[in-house]
Amino acid sequence: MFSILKGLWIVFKHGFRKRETVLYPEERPILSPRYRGRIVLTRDPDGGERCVACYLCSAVCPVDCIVIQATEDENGRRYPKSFRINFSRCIYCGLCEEACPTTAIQLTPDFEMAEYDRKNMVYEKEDLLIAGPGKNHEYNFYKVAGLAIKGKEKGQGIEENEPVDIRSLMP
Amino acid sequence: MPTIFIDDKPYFIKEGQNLLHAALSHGLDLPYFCWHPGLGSVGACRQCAVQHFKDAEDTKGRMVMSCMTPATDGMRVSIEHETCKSFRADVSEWMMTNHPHDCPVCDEGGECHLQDMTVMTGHNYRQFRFKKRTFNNQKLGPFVNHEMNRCITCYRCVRYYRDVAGGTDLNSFASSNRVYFGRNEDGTLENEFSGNLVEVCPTGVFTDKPFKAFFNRKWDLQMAPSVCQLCSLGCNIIPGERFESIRRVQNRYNHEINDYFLCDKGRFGHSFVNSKERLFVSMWRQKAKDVASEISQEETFQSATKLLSSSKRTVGIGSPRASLEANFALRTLVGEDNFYDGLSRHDSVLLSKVKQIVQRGPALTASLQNVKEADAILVLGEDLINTAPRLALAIRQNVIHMAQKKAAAVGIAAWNDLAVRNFVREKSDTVFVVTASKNKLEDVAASFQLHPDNIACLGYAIAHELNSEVELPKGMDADLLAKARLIAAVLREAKNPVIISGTSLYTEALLDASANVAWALCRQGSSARICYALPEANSMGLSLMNAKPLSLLMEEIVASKVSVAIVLENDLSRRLSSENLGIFFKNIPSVIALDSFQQQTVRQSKLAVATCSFSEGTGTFVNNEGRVQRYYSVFERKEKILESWRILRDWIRKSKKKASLWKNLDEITDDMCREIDTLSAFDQAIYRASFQIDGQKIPRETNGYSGRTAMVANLTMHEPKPLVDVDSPLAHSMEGYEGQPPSSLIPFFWEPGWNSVQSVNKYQKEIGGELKNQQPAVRLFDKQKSKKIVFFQRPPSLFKQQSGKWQIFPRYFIFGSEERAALSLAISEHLSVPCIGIGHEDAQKQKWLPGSMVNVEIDSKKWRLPVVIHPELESGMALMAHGLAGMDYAELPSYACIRLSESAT
Repeated sequence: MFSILKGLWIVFKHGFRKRETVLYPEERPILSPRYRGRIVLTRDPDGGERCVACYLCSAVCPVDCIVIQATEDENGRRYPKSFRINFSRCIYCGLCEEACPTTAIQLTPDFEMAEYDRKNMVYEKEDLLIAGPGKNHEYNFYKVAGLAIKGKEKGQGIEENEPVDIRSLMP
Repeated sequence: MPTIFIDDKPYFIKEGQNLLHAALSHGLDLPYFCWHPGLGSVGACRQCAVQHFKDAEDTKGRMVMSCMTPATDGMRVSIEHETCKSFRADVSEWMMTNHPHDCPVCDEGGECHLQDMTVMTGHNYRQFRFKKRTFNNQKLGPFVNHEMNRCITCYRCVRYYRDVAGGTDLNSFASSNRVYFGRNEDGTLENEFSGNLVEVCPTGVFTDKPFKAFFNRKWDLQMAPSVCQLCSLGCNIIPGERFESIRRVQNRYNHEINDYFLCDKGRFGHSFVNSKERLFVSMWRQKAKDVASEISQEETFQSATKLLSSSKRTVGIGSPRASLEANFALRTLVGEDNFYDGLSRHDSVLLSKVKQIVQRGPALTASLQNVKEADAILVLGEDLINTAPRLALAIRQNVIHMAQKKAAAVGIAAWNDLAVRNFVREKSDTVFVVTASKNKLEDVAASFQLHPDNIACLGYAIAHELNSEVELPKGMDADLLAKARLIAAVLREAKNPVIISGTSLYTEALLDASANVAWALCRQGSSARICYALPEANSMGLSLMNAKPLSLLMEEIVASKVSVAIVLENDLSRRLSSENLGIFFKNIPSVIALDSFQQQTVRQSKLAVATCSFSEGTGTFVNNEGRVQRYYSVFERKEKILESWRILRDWIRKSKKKASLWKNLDEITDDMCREIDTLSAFDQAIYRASFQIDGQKIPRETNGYSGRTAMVANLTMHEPKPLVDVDSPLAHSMEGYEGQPPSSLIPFFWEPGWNSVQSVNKYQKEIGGELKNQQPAVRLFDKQKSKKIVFFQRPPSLFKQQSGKWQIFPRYFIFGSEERAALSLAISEHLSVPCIGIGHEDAQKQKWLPGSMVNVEIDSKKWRLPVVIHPELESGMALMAHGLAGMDYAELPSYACIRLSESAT
């Protein structure tokens, strides 16, 4: 009998506590930047596409919902000709972000992706690519990779020596 | 059998192996770089270190490089010992100090030997704080991409390119930490086997250039065991597909044929299936001058059966590049009496001669492995590098093999590459190559040039030396006779010589002469073999169909007796003179052409039926040695295109009212074996569609295949059911049997920890030997040989120059003479241009310079071509480019007048 009353009392007391539930959508929750929501493709600080179509995100994706086709532009930069994510399959596990060697693919705190038509959940590259660098403001893959592209010749990268002169007779 | 102890476990080994070879043969994981089973050991990379102990008590041991250490009986070594293990990790670390961080944009990534070995050694953190070395790259042409930063200086590329493939334009430059592998200056790699650098290079310095434009990782490609379509040797290949296009072709190891290497035509030529010239939809043309309109598959069926049912006489024209099944289906549709071979007049004659020789025996046909291991080789007439390139490489491998044998006599092991190199002579004394023009084997073989008739005479003279029953040609000069005597003496001493010839010079006497030599050797008791380079991939298969020669049909066509002709995967403009071709299309009211791409016959036919190519269809070829090999479809298109045999089957079902004829490939195969005697052994060469291992089919996709739920999401949200393959034991899926399938069903080579092409190690019984689940080869001509030898007795007379006329022979080009390979994007950048080759003497006499335009007149038909000077060519003969796009068909050899073109002066 006493325990029942005690239980009732506790429940009653909770009625006067501060409310945790947010009145969404009038009121928006503040989510941490680490929140794993809608996936975006970012750009490097120079504004170039970060994604180099290395296929690591599509390989690691446990539900195989990322499909890419790589190609190269006239400057020698590799980029995805097409980049498609089927969000109706995505489980927002974030493994793609973890696998990405160029920090191109990032998960954002946007979770409002419900659609009436499943077809609208298939995002193509133009839907995914954003204008900024996302969470990582610094990283620029081509500055540290040995590959030469237009505007960054061999030896102009970070921690790189000038190209070897193979005809030199010096030891 | 010698036993060695690796980490205290006993292993049986073969005599004469090195430790690395022995360890890998037993499936142990031992990292290596500079060693390659096709190249031998040089001990350059220091990666394969193991600990060698004095005896069972010794625990410290000393470090040795396993690739340079012979494995001897009772030897005790350790792979797992701490000292060598940490040494190997250090070696990896040194190599990685300058290796760039560009794996994400490197085409080797995911199938990289360097990645595999770095993981295997356990090196995972870079401690080197200094700057990385960089190199400028070179432009190496349309096939191979160069990214020199990634080099780990294993020297495999130059060792392969120079020592095995015989190239001269790739070399190592500079010294110490600046060693550079490339050409003297930018430019296309000259060697015809340069594509193998992609597989030989353990890292991403040399990568597949056409693949780069639309790159996919290995794990994303759908792959299937296939057979090269572009020459008669039948090298085994693995095409890889993504998004309904063939992305690249890789070598499929087969120790009896192509082992580790392919030619560039085979590697880069198959992307014709992606070309703009592909025919995806059938076309109908009411009248000859109408523009063709696209019609559906159902409409195609209706109009074809209508044409057939109202036809008075229907003939079928087969093809040497269509599968056995397609040719057989056509033969069944039109009846054996109305089935013609679709070859030019000369090809027909030569092919039936070849068939007669290999069937009659007693000499067996030679595989490429037989050529590699022969102790004497005689090439009569065939310009192998252009007609059967991989065979030319096999001859180069033979020269190395002979050097290994000589080295063995003084106690040097075959794998000790640098030492063996000393035994490679400037000119081999056991390989003789006699051709009409330069043959690119001059650097290794004793080689000289003669007129084709004179080559045949030489062949007869050699056979006469070996066996006096063979008639000696009249009027041979002393020099030629001396050569014949010398060659005969070498062949006589050989235990397993190989005589190679072919059909490309259109000289029947060459076939006779080569058969005479081989048979004369067989008579002596040696196991001589014979090898013919044939015009196309399934030439031999077609010859088994008992088709009548196309030239016989021409007489009937002239009399307008044919109402419907079905042309199967064949371009008649390459078989008939333009005059005859005109008659063909004028006198036959309805020509039905089946093919997978646009060509002249397809463009001119009333009904052009789109069929699928080798990449989407399954079929069987018989190669030049009579080996039956099946190629499997790699993928299926969403708009399904049927194989030729299925289209023809539907027409047979309708016209012969057999509604349930040939439901799958197995059923047509059974019928074919029943009807054609020579193919009765066929069954053992193939696996039926019902074949499964552990109740599972063999997957065409790797277990890392990605993007399944997004690939077609732009079209439909409902993921389609995996396609069912009713023709083969392979599945269009990543699910299925994960172990090693039988050798002819291997869709790709992969083992955990071995992602690169080097994983083929894990599939071999012994490294460099046969595969673990090796299926015995079915070679159709190995049986039923008569012991009785009847030599050919009609030697040609020696060539005599006709004044004012040249005898024209065809000249083939590796890049261009094959119509389909020429459509491939990479090869189209490398095509040879039409030309006429004239001897130095003639050119001087006529005052022609290289590049002068001349008119070549054969039977009132003219070709206007630039002159190319071949210094070695006998005067009175000329070589005209053959099979190149834009050149009219010429019936060769024939006499022609050559005059300087007036418009050029």
